[in-house]
Amino acid sequence: MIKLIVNEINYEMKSIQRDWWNWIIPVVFFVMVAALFPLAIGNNPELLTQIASGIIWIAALLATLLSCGNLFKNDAQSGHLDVLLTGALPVSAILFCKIACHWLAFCGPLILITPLLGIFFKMEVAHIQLLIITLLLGTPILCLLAASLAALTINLENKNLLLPLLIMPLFIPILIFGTGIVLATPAEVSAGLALLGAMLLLSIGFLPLMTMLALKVGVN
Amino acid sequence: MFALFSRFISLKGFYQTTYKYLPFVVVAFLSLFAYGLFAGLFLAPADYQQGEGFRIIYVHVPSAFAAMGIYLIMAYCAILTLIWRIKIAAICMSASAGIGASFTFLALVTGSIWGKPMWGTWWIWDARLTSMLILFFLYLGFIALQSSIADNNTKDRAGALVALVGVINLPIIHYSVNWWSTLHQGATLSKFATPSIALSMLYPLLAMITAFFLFYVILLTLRMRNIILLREVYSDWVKGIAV
Repeated sequence: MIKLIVNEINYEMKSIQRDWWNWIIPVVFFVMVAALFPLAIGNNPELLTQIASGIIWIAALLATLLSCGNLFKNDAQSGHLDVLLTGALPVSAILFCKIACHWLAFCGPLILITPLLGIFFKMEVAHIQLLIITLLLGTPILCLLAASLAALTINLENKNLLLPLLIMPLFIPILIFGTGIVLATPAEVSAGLALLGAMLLLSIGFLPLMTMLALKVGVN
Repeated sequence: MFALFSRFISLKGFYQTTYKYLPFVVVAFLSLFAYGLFAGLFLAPADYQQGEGFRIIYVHVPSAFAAMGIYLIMAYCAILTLIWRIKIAAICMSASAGIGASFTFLALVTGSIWGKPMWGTWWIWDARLTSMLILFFLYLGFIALQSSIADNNTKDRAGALVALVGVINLPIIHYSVNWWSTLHQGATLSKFATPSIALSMLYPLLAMITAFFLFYVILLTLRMRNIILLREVYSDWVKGIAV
């Protein structure tokens, strides 16, 4: 069983590796969106520093949405998904591994490049550190949520527009905590991080199951 | 009891039974609505702080109640749909979404009309307003999803999953928005403290809340009857009606 799951992870990593340009695109997108804000708002350094965490979070949200929309596309086309759903392996566990691989490949680079953006916006080092921690806790939740809704909309024509519409309202609490923690007082920081962690654990527990149900509905 | 229940739960039974009961609901709605409107607008005294402007709560509060209550009803229908595959629950869920979204919109609009004289601005990023706006987005997402799926069975189950995720998220959204508004805003503009409400103000409000709920039931029944006809268009009993 464990061996089969490890095989599954290997398969996933290989197919991500094969389409390496696919994970360059979200990073470029992320940096571009963040760069648009100073152009739109003006180059007032104080204002930009104040809203930097919000800008970076929204850019990360959009980039993740972009990459998660096609999470199951290749598997559905190749028939791999049908094999998974009808096979003997625990589907939700495999889906969890799949989403974890996806997070590592697509959100990992975003988080790695965040310090650079922080410097662009003249953020303090402590704030950049906090921002990275909130991104580390928050983006997996986003991936899990996006995966479950991507599974639901897998066969729909207008899924590229529908998916963000469905996810964004659900993702508001994480956005609030993710950006709020960065500028909060120390007592609020630890409470906020604990709450964000609790949301992550809750998502890890329930959303893979939800993704499995959604896949069964979506694939039909 | 069970006979009545089973008659309501089958599509044909629902269509035929509601036809008989609907007039009574309409009469109850009209009388409560007339009383609530008259008592709220003319009999209730003007508020000592807000003057005559407070009277908009007789539309605002009932629609906000309905907006949240209808989402809960949808989530309940979602459970019935997912676990027991009860068709009528799925139809109730689909039919409720549009009505719920309209009530949410009404609550937002009346809230902002109330806010203009009271707060001096059409919109502030207050916790309650923001939560309501997010609820509106949740409704719109649900409607957008359901309207883009053609197959009825898939439509019902997909909608049910989204409604359930939404209702689990709703308290989290509510508390996080509260946390957000205390963090960012401070107590610059807080609502007027209304510890207790005079009975002459309260009774019309209760009447209006009930009337809005009955209005929802009327609209819901009419919409459900339409959806039933559309879905069962090839069955013999619908053909019988058409001929």
